[in-house]
Amino acid sequence: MIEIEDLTVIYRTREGKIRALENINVDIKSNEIFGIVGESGSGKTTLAMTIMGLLPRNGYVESGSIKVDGDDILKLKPEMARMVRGKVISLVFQGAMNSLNPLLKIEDQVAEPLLIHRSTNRGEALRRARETLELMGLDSFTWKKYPHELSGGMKQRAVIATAMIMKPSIIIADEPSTALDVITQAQLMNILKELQKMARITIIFISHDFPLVSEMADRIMILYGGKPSEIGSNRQILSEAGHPYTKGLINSVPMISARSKPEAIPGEPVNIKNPPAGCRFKPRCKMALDSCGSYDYSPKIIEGDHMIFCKMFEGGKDGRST
Amino acid sequence: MNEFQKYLSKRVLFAIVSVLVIISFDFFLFRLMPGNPILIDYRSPALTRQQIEALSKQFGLNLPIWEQYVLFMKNTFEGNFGISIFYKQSVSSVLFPALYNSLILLLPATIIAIFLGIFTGKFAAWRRGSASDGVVTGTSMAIYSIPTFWLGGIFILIAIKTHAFPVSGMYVTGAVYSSVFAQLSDLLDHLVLPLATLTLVLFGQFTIIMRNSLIDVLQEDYINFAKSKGASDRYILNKHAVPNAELPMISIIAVNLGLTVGGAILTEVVFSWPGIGFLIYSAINARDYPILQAAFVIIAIVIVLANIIADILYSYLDPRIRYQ
Amino acid sequence: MSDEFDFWKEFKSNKKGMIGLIIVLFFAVIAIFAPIISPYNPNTTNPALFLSPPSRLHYFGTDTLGQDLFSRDIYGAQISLIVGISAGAVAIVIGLLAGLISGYLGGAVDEVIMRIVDFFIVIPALVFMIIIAALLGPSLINVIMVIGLLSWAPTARIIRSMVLSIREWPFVESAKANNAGKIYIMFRHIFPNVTSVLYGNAMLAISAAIFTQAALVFLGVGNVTSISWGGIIRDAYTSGALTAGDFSFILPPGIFIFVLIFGFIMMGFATEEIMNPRLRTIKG
Repeated sequence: MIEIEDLTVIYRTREGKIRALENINVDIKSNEIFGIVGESGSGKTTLAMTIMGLLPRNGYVESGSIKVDGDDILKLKPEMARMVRGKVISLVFQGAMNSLNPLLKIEDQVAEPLLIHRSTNRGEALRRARETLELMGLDSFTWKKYPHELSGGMKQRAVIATAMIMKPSIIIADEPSTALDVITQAQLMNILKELQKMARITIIFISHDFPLVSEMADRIMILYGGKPSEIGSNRQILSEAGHPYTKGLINSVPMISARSKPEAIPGEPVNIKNPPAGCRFKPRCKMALDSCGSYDYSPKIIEGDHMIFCKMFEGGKDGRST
Repeated sequence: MNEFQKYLSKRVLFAIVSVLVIISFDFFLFRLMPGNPILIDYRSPALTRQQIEALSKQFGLNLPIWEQYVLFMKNTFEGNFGISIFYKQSVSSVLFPALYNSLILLLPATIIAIFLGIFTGKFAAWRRGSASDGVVTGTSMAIYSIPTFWLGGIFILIAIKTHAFPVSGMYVTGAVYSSVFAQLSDLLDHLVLPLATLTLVLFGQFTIIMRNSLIDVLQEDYINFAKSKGASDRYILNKHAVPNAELPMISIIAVNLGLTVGGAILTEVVFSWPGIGFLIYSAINARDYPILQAAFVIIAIVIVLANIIADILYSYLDPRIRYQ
Repeated sequence: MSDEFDFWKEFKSNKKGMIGLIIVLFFAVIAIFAPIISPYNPNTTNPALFLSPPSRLHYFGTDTLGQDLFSRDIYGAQISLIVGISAGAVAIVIGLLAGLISGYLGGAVDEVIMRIVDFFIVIPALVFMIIIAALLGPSLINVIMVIGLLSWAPTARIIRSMVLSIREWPFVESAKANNAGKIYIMFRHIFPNVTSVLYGNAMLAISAAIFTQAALVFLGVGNVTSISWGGIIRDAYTSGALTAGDFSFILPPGIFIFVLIFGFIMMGFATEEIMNPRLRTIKG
């Protein structure tokens, strides 16, 4: 239902143009949890902001389209794009601690999308806000509180309630659980999963935390340096990973039961301001070849929709033999 | 006592201590200066023998300095500031009408400047980095750099050339008014130029303060979150950004009150507006030290009080302080 | 050192900063070469030239004593720069020391210094200066000291808040672990990290001092005997030039004060922008 085609997003900076996202082609299906994994600078937040139409002032879409149910939301006029935000697609930010206005009561903030989109009057909006808060496990004690009076987990639930209140078809959750403790984080993940089943919404779940994403997502896209590395179902990524970066991610996860020690991926994350030619993972890749420097990111498609963006798999040949 | 009350009582305590320190400063400043100007003043032949004796007794001019200090404190709290050498009447009977006249000029100027400043600050902050932001910010900085006493002079020059507005005093000298309205309209006529001068100077300052507070706030996550709810720019600005930017603005304005008073004094001198600033100016030339001494204390107390009001207003508007 | 190199590079590409710098340098040149630039001795009186209008001989006309106003306006740059920079320096040095000590030592010392700072921020500085300057009498040193001693508080507050975060940085911790003395740490480790903020503040302090000096002279309580822009404006009022509709008397000195202050403020803002591109704030 979300078809992203050939998306390239650029930031203008004093040092020149930065290509924050390039060659992004992916279809996100209805009612799935689609995970996006990447370290900082991978372009995962840029992707979220592009879908929301909230790129910072110095960012713009150079090419490509994002179709939601067939309509390209990048081509909407500002006023129409505003109608999509919060209503069709809503966002749960990283650092939800700060997503709430310190001067307004919780219930007013949760009810706000209803009033912004003129769905109903204030009284009804408040009633629905309380209903949604309750659904999120926040009882009447919290409704009239100010953000600073609530715990981090409670604030995060209020933010999710706000994102839910318009019954959107898509929720983008960008690092929703950073800065929360492990238990609160687990509770939150359960809430998101239940919501997704109950309300039949599509969730785009974005995180740097590979194990967390692999626990949540039906399908996963791995980004590296603004470009895709691998896209596939949960099973395909976890047990049939092809890309060296994906394999590195899997090996770097400490498994309590496993005997093998976790291995970190050597090297520094890519400098997006000055990326290497060809495959961006090349400088850190154990299996890199000279020809990786001219890789053009044409994917190798394996069984159905498992895509690997690696020179070794290009054209179906095993690159190692050359 | 909750946190909020603790906070407030701490501020009030600081205010009281400040006032005591200011009064002490005031006392020693004038007594310890070369020649002890107050003593010289109170032996001035401008006063009658009776007045000198009364002052001697009241301020203990022949007593050791510490006893004079205690008497001075006591007299100050009773509103007794001695006798003006120039006006030959009690300082308070000269000072308080002047303070009232000052407020007639200062309050409207501050209020108008704040409203205009919020308006243009909002305009510039929303378009930050654009050409119109550059123009507004540049102009505000320029206005902020204009010497008050020079701007007033330019206004006077223009007003005299065009016979537009009276350039001196509060009323036409010796005028007799047929009605309250006639008197009021004369006052407003005289108010135009000093009000314009002071408002303009303050306006530049407030625009910059508002713009910078807003730019700070506009980076906050809750602004982005409001955008993701589908809110319009105008809605975000008015409902989320401005209320949050007004909080720091309140404290900055309160802290800068000393500067505001400085601007008011210069404006009063330029336009011979019979306020406390003009009184200070005349007192310097007349070596009327009792007036200077009292004016300093009164202005300082007014500023300390205004700061307390700003503190209370701030904590009332900010739930993070109100509900702790 | 690399920090300062970057700073200058950034400053050069900052439009506001360069405009400010050019303005300040312009006035510095005028002040230094005043005897060469000015066509007349600014103190030479000529009773025959009472308030003469601008002419080819006297670009800005003459004052009531027949002194050439153009020459006086040129010489006025000297006092503004001397008082502005010296008083600004006094304020910055005191503010820096108070901020360093308050922020680094903390505890009761911090509490006391900060209450003193609060006090100096709240009191009406101009009223205070008028009175002290009137009592002390006119002299250049008096004016510099009065302005400097009453203007250090905002700097102290900003420096303190910076020190509070810097003292938690690892290199300060390691210096402490190596038993470095407090004064050594303060000046060797913390001071270099606050200098950039200090530059910005110094520019703002200088601009405020230039304004205050002119205002004090205008009110008749500063160093009234030296030739200064504030004094020329005062003369314009008392000479009756305003009533006569004579622009050439009052216009130039005011524009000079304004442009010079603007130059320093632009430099100060540019410094703050470079140091803190997100905030771009001024306070106090």
